[in-house]
Amino acid sequence: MKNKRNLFTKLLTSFACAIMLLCSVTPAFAASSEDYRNVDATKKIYDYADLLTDEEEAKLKQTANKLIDQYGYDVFFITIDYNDTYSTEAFIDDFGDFNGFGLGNDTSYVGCIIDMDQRNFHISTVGNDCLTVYNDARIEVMLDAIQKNVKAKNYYKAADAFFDKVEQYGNDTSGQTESISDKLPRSILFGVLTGLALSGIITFAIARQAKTIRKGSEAANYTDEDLVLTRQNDRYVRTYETKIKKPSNSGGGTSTHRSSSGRSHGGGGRSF
Amino acid sequence: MGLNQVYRCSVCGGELSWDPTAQLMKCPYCDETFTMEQMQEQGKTELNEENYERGQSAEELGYTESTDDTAVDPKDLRVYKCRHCAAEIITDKNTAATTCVYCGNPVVIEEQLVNGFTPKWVIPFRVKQDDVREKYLSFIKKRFTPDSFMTDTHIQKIKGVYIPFWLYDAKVSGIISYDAEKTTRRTSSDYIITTHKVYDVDRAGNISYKRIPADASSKTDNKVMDSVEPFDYSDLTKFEMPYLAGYFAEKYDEDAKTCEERIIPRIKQTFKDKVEKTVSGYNTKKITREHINHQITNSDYAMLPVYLLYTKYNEKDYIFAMNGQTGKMIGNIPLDKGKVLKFWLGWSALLSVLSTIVYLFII
Repeated sequence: MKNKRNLFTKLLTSFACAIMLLCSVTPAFAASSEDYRNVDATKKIYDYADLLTDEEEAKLKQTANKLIDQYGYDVFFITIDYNDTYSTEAFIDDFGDFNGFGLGNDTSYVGCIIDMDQRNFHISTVGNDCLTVYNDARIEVMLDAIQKNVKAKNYYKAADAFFDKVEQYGNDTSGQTESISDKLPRSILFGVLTGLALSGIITFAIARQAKTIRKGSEAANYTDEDLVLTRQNDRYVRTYETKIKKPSNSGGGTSTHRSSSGRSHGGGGRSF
Repeated sequence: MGLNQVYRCSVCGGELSWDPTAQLMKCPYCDETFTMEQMQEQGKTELNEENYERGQSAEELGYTESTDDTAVDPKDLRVYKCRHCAAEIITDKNTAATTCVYCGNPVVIEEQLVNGFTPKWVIPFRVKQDDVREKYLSFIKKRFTPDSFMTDTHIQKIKGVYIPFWLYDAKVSGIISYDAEKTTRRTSSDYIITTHKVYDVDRAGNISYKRIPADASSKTDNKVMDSVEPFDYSDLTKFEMPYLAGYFAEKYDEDAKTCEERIIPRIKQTFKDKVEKTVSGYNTKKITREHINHQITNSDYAMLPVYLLYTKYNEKDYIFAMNGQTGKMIGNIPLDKGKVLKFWLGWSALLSVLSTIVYLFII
């Protein structure tokens, strides 16, 4: 009996140990991206790193749903504090692809992640709708807006800035990084300066025609015989190369990569 | 010795002057015309008949102003006696032809054009003085010309003047070396790569010029005279005194050596331009070395026809000139600041709107 009991105690102890061991491992295990599969895709805000208050989450969720209704593609925001398996980019790509995000005829979405473990933040886009709207230039502008707030450790504002830009670009496929009204003051300023300068050149050219007294500078009218060449050498010396970086074409294309699911993703990210 | 000469009509005794339309000497009274050959024949006899009278210094005689607007320093004034009315003609020491202010007759002061001052060539006037005003009026009609300037009321005088010129023949030879590059462009994914093939290019050659003009009077603005070029040398004829009758003329007061300094840069520049044109097929070229020699092979003294128009507008003098042979008019027309501003702002408004649209929607 004693033996039996001993065995039971031993078993219990080892079981408890195993449980304890298991428990100590669980957070790591649970935090790998595999465990972020089959999440509820209707939540739209996933604050695993606990960077937001419940109120903030609720507000952001409301915003996300409003944008989804308005533009017809999916929008989500996620924060994580443990990620040792993938790059931030691969994480959000898989999170989006395997959890059934994506709306519209090409199951498009735009998502943003703040990865507190790798200290990256990243935007991922999928589907024709989002890939056309969110070109590289626009992604850069969005990352700028998020970066400011992430650096200031204001994660709610970072999410808000992300949604703000989503709202701005919406379904506008012009590729312009700024809205017409944002660009207007600067365009007027440059436009007026250009107008004054161009008109100045025209005015100057016409005014110059009124002046015809000029010092003689050449004598081409008076050549008796034309130029006689007595030597004409063209000797090859060397070859060298110069290169300049291609100008990044704002409003231009969207570069994409393929995620593990096989879908084409756009977007981009930065460290903080 | 010299004399001031009046060329008389052998028919009626009237004073002949050069007629640009007929290209002959013409009597204003009986319309009889004479060729230069006839004039030479007549001149020989007249020369013997006339009494010589050297130009006397006006300063010594107490004169301070000229009678023909050749306003200069009193010590440069000379006095002549008009052969027609015996009035005194007071003019600049370099004047070779003028008009008697009293009887209006043309006077040629031959003593100015002898002893090394005889021009070799002349291009006679082809444009009539009566046509100058009209040509001038159409010339000044430019977009920014002040409305009040578009009349002929501000013309103070129009003078047909034979300007003394040196006509140079010259040779230029030299060698010019260039650093020239042929470039090709290709693009990689991130870069635009330019391949430069560098060549050492040498060109040696020579060129010759004939009759490059440079005005030889210190009184005329060199830039104005450069601007009335070119003259058509097919009209260039042997100089004869009677051509000057009816016009103003001056003898040169800058010698050939002095004036050649002005043509040297011009002939060198044309040599460089022409040589550079032979360096073709390159995207860039830069002169690395040049050695250019010039040689003035000949210089001839010639009288070339120019109309000078003196105008005054808002207390400022404006000079216009017309090539008396080809009719080419030059001059700096005053600008109406209000018109310029209006034009500038008007176009600015239009172009600003267009540029704003481009910035807003395209760039």
